Amino acid sequence: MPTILVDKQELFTLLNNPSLNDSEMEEILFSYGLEMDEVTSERKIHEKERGSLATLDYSDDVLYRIEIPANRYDLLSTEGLSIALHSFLHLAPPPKLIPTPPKIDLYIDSAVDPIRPVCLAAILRNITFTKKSYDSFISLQDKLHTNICRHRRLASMGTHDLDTLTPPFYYTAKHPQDICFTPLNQPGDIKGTQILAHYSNDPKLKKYTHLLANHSKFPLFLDANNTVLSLPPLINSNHSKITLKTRNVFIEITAENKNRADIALNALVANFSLYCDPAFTVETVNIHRNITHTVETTPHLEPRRLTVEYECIRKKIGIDASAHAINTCMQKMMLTILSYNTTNCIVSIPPYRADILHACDVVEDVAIGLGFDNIPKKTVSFYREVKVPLMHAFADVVRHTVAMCGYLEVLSFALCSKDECGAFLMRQQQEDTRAVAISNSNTSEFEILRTSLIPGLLKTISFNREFPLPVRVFEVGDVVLLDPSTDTGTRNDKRLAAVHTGHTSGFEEIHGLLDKLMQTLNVQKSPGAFDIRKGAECMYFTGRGADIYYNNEKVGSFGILHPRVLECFGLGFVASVVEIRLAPLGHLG
Amino acid sequence: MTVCEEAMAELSEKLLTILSERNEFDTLDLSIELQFDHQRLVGAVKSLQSLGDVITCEQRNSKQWELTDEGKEIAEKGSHEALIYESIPLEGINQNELLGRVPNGKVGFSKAMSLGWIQIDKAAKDGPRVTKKVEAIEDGVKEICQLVKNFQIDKITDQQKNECKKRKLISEVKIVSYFVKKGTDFKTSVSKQEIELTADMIASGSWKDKSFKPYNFNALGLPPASGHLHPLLKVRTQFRQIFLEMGFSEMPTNNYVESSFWNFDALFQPQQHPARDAHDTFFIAEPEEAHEFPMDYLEKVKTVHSIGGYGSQGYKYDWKLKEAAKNIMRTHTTGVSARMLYQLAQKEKFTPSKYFSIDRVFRNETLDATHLAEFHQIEGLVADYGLTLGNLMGYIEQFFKKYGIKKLRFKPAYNPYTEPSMEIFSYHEGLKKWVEVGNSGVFRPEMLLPMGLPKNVSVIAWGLSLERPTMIKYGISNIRELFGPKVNLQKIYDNPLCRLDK
Repeated sequence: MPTILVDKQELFTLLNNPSLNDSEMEEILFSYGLEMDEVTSERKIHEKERGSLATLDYSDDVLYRIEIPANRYDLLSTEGLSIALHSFLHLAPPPKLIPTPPKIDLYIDSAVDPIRPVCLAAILRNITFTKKSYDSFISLQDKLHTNICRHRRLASMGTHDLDTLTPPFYYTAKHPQDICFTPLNQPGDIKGTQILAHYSNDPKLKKYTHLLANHSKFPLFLDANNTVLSLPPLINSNHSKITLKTRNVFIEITAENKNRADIALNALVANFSLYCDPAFTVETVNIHRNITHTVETTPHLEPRRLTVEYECIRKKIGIDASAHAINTCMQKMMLTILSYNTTNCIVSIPPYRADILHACDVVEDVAIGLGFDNIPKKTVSFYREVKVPLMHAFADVVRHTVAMCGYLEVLSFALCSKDECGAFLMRQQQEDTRAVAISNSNTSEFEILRTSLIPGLLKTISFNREFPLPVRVFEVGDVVLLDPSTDTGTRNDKRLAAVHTGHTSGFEEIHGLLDKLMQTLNVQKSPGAFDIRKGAECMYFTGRGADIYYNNEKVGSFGILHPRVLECFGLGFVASVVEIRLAPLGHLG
Repeated sequence: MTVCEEAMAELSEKLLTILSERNEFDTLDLSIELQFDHQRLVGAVKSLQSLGDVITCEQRNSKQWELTDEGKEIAEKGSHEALIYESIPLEGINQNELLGRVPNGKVGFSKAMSLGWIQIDKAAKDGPRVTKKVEAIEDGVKEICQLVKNFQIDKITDQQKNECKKRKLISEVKIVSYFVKKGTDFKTSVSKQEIELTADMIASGSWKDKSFKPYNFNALGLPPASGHLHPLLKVRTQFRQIFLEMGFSEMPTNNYVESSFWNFDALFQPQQHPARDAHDTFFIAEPEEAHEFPMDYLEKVKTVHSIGGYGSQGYKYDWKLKEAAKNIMRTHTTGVSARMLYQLAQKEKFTPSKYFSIDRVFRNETLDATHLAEFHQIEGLVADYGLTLGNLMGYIEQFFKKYGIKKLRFKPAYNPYTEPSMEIFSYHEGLKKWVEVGNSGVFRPEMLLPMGLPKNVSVIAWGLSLERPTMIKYGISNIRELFGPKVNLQKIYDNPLCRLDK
């Protein structure tokens, strides 16, 4: 979940409600689905990061750190948040964005198609920045880059001082050797061939260089004089940098995915056209595509319309509210009622409410407008036979039996290292060591899915050296095996494993446990039904391992572990183990 | 009876005889008088005391001078200076050779010099030569040590005492002694008391003539060699019980590996969602991809993601089968729920259903005291015609009430596959604040309608982790003590009964 830092005073001024206190604010945020993470200040943040007292340069103005739901990109700045809360608290109509006719053209060269084909633009005219709103403008771009743009991969934006540039603009792609410009806040020109290397150590920008690394051409934004605006998605040029004095802002967005570019651009203009004169006007831009000769005017600021049935809303929430009450709830959530009658209404959804995909999103807005606390809570009851998977019940019988025999139940991870289920158990043959493998684990502890429960038990014992001997532990759990007959190609297999470790081998103990379990399951030892045959599994000491057969199928094994196995798991004592499959024993497929 | 016990009984009787003659004694005085180890004497008195009112005891604290190890050696063998003196032959001896002959030779040498017992000729041709200066000596230090040893401390002057203390030959120790008098049940002989009632005594009838040693009922019993279930799974049983009481059936969850399709796509979670990144989810290298999808349904999922439908505008992107086919470690059990709901939708007639599951899920997260790569998710869902958000709140309240939590609040939230979505908060009496205890919501039409569920069927669901309530219940702050190899076996052995409602 993204979080934003909001200046308390700024927010309260924008909300027209300076008398609120922190806990009232927290309550309002909670009911809107926002969370007050922290009440802090620039100084406190600095001191927390550095662990030392900050100098006087840091402000003591109260800041709120607020957690924003991942789909509300329109709330990622103080401005956006205050617009939304203004509607929520005072029923203020949401700002209507006014697109003004295009004056400036932008040409897309087809050379960008294989790299970053989508391009949108917008212009904010007659804008007045203060230090705070300027910082907020930069911060919102950061938040959008991280979230909707997925770290600039799916979309990225550049904002420029229009008055330093000469339209029309060109979005093209060039070979690195043909690129040279002064990037933002750099002392001099950097060649295209060096730019990735230059930023590969930059703490903020190094994570974006890979987005261009495999391309022979880099995307480039130019004006009519071939002045570079930006090299998306990495860096803007210093030339067109916006400052506190900037009056006209040119915004360009390049993207892989058009929907995300639209959402990001709308969030940006909706939040900051507030500072334009007249407020909420956005100048559109004509986007020309070279090959198709199509012209598109962006941004797309037309509100969407949705017809909503009141009865549907009542039924989905479980309320009995009047049409009027429901309308009020929708207005609180920035939806405008265009027309309504007793059964349904047509609402207008502002272009920056990208989170509304479906009428069910409007249902949620009504519920929030109403307040979750005000919804009557009712259970419904209907009769249905209750079922528990047979294996779960059977596994519990086995767990209880083994625990009553004096064994402690442990719970080990399903993920383990390759060696633990392979070399450590002296398994060498390929068919013995095949396992479901993880491709992106950060640690060697989680390379594969366990194919045996024994390593987990042995590891647990090795971490419990203080526990008095003999140690008796068991686990009933799933191992995962490769199985081409299922849709994922894998299958869970439920097993019981138990270990007895101490000064003596404990072979008879483990054998006795197996006998007791079979007796509990009412299985008689007889050839063909349940019998024990000399085994050949490599983890056992020579001649001390046996296979367990049930209905002539091998279902498990037991024996004294080979001293080399004990050594691999760091155990200084003798150990006997049993591992057995539960499905055949319980006749559960 | 062991030799040691016999000796103790003999000593006890001897003490009783002394007491009958004198009426009272102090253990320390007696030990000096009898030249007997004080600790053993106290042991005998204690065992008499345990017999009841045979004797009465009063504890006394005193200080006593005792020999140090060095002092004990001197009492036996003589002082260092005396040993030096004794080691010098008539003709004298080279100084270095002399020092080598006697332990603590240097100390002894300088003492003997200052006492005027010996002299040194530094100009001798083979190096300094030591000869006796007097014909005989009196080893006063040894005498003092012997006096201390024999508890005759009053025969030593303060000056001598201080000298020995300085040389660390004696030290003052605290002594606890007992002043013993006859008790109301005083007798001079005690018969041996039995500890155990045995089968032999019953067979022979000898129990009738025996007296039995009183039991110390405050002592600990012998710990039984018992087995135990794991605490986390005990709590799982409790939650399972709650669901069963509420009429929910358990879903089969035996598939740790899931396709991205069922884990994400079926839940209307877009393919560029951050949860699908490598740093959040474990991807499978082998078998890398799942195969065999219900193709009709898959096409509908693809459509609703890429261009929308069922009243939704969708996410407007290029949906790829390749991405959906990727096998992963399931990140939640909701993929299992999706499979169940899909099966439910395939039946001829929809039947309202209530399901739950409690099983492992996997996240490729940074591990810390509260996060593991594996944990258990608890999930409950109800599918029925016309379910409301109010019904969801009602079910959640009922569920948490059985688990002992009565004060609940709901906060609007965002989940890709539920709308409306609610985080569940409960009031924590200890922390005096609202804490998040679970997540919930109404499944989106974009998830349910492609499955083929009737349009007026709603599915409401909630979920929480099993570890968190267990950690709170058992007061565990590090999750590694609960799950995985670093669990403390003693805690599994010790852990008390778990009742969620208390």
